[in-house]
Amino acid sequence: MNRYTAALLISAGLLLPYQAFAQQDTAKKDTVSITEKVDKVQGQVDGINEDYLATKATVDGLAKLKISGYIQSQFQYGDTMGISTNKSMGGPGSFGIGVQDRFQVRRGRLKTTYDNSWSKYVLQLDLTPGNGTGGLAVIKEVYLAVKEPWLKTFALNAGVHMRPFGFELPLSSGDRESPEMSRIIQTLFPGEYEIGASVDMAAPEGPLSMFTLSAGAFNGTKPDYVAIENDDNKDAIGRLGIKLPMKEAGIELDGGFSAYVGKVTNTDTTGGTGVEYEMSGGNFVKTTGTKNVNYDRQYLGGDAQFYYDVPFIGGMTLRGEYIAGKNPGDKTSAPYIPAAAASPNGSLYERNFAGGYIYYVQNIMTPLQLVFKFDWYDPNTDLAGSKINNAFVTDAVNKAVGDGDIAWTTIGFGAIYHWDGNVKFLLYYEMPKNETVASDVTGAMAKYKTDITDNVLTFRVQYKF
Amino acid sequence: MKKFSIIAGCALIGLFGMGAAKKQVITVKGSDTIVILAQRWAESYMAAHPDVSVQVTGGGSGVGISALINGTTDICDASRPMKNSEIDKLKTRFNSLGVEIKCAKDGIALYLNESNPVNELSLDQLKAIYTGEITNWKDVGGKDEKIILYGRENSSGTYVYFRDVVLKGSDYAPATQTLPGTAAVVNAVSKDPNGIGYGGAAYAKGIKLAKVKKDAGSPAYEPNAETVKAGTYPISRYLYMYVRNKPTGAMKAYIDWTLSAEGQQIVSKVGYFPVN
Repeated sequence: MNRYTAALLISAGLLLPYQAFAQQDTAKKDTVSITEKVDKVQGQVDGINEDYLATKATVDGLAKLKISGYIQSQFQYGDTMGISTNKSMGGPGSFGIGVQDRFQVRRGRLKTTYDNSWSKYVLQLDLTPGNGTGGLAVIKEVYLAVKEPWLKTFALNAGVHMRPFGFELPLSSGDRESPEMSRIIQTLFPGEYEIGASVDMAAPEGPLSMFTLSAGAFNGTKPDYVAIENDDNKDAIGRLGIKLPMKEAGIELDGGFSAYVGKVTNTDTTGGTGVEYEMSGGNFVKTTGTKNVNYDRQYLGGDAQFYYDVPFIGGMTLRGEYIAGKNPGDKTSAPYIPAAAASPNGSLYERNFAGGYIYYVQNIMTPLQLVFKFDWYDPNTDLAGSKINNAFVTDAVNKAVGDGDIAWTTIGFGAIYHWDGNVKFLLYYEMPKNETVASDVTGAMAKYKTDITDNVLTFRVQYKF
Repeated sequence: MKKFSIIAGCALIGLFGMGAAKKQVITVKGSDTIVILAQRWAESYMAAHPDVSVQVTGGGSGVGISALINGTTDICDASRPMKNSEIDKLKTRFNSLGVEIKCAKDGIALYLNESNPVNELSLDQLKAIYTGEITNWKDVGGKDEKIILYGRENSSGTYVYFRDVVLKGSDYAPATQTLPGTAAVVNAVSKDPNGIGYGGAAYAKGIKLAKVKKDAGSPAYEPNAETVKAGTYPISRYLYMYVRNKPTGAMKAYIDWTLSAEGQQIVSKVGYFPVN
C-alpha cells in the first residue's frame, strides 16, 4: 500500500459514515412521508366511511317506504242499452241511458306504506277519473299498525282499514279473478274499508301459526261517512282463520269463520215518529214510533278455500263462502246508514238474508288462468218472488216491497292472461239472473216479471306494481 | 302432388330441425349464498345435457322468491324457508303452495381477519356484537380495537336467517356495513384486521373462521361436514330450491340430478354439505 492508497482509504473511511447518515436521513424522510400519506389516506377513508354511513342511513330510511298501485282499464258490452236495474244491489255495473258499450278506467289506486318492521303507516288513494268525485283523489285507506316485538304475533291497527270479514272482501281487486266482488259482498260491505281499531294475530311459527285472527270495533257507517260516528253504536267485526297444508300431497285447505255484530239506529222521520218494516208470516209488518230505536246488524259467515297442484297443468282452487243474518236496510236493500237529521233516508227494513259464492280457478302453466264463478244473494229470505203478486204489491202494508227484496244469482266465466309480472288481461262474461215475480204484478216491481237482460262482457287490462 | 310432397317434406324437416335446435331453458334465481353451487350444478349439468340451458342469477333469497311469485323464474334458490306471507302470495297468483326442495346444508360461518387473535365466540356474544352492545374486540378477548361489522343486504336469506336465529329478531346495529354478496363480505374482512362478517362456509377464503358455541359453557365448533351434519355447529341450516308446481319434464330431471350422488358431490366440492 503506498501513501496514495492509504490516503484514499482514510478519505473513504471518513466519508462512509457521512454517506450512511445521509441514507438514514433520506429513509427517515421517506418513512415520515409515507406515514403522512397513510394518515392522509386513512383520514380520507374515514371521511368516505362517514359519508357512506350517512348515505346508508338515508337509503335504509327510503327502503322502508314502499309505493304500490294498479290501474284497471276496461271495455264493457251489455246485453241491452242502459243496464242499470241491478245497480242498487251490486251486479256488473250501471250503464248510462242509451249506452250499451263503454270504455272505463275502473280503478286507479296508489298506495304508500312506510314499514319500520314494528310499525307501519299506510295511505291508499283512489285516483279513478270520473267516479263521481270529479276526478279528485279519495282516501280509501289511512291507518297505522303497531306490532309487538316480543311474540311477533299481535298487531294493532287504527284508522280507516279493511273490515276483517270473510275471504273475498279483503282480496284486492288487483288479485281477484272476477271483475267485481260477489253481489252479497258488494251489498253488505260497500266501500270495503271503515274507520275503527282492530287486532291481528298471526304467529310466525309454532302450532299457533296455522291460525289467524283479526277482530276489531268499527263505527259501522260507510266510507262516505268514515270520519263520523252517527249512531253511537260500535260494530264488532272479526274472522278466525285456519290453514291446513298437506305439502307432500300438494294440497291445502284453508277456511274461516266470520261474525259481524252491530246495531243501527233508525233515524227515519216518516210520520214524525219513524217507521220500521219486518217480515212475519210472509208479510211485512209496519211498526211506527221507531225513530231512534236500535236494530241488529248481524252477519255470520263461513269460508273455505281448497288448493291443489294439478300435475302437468298447474294449481287450482275451489273456494266458497256463505253468509247469513239480519241486515237493516232501506227499500233498495243497501245497508241502512243513519243519515243526518236534515236528510232522513227513509224507513228502516230489518230483513233476514243469505247468500254466498263459489269460485273455481284453474291455472294453465304460468301465464293463463280460467275462472268460473257462481254467486247468489237473497236479501229477504222470508219473502219468495212467487209470493209477490198484484194483491201483494197493492196491499196497504206489503206495498213496501221493493228492489231490496229480490234475489239474484250470477254465473260468470272468463280467462286471465298474465303478460308479465305487472300486466294481465281479463276476458269475462257474466249472466245475472233475478228472482221473478207473479205475472200480474203492476207498478215498480213489474220489471221483475221476467229475467232482465243484463249480461255483460268485460275486457280488462290491468297494470299492477 | 310431387311438388306438394317435396314442400311438405321440407316443412316437416324444418319443423323437426327447429325442435331439435330449440334448447330447453331453465331459469334459476335467488340466494347469493347458493349462487356458486347453482352455477357449478348448471355447468356440470349442461356439459352432460347440451339440449338444456340452465341460466343462474343471484340477487338474494327475497329477490328469488319475488321472481317465483311474479312468474319470472322457474326455480328460486333460497337460504331460508319461504314465509307464510310469501306462500299466500303464491297461492293468490298461482293457486299453488310451491314445492320446497332441500338441496344442501350450510353452516353460517363467522369470518374474522387472519390477524385477529379471537378464535371463538358464543351466540350471546355474536348477538351483542351485531346489535351494537359490544363494540370493542377486547370485550370478547381480542385487541383494544373497534369492531367493524360487515353484513348482507335485507333481501338476503342469510341476513334474515342470521337476524332471526342469532340476533333473535333484534335489529342489526346501524353501523353494520351491508355488502352486496357473501364474496364482498369475505373480501372486506380479509382486508380489515378489525372486521367481522358472516356468510356461507363455502366462501371462506383468505380469512379465518371463528368457532361458535351455543353458550359460554358449551364447546365451540367450526362449521364442517361433521359438525353441521351432527347439528353441533349452532348456526346450521338447509338451503332450498323452490318451484311453483310439482316439477315435470326437464326441470324435474335437473332437480333430481342435483339431489343425486353426482349433484351432491358438487355440493361438497363447493364447500357446503350434502342433505343426506
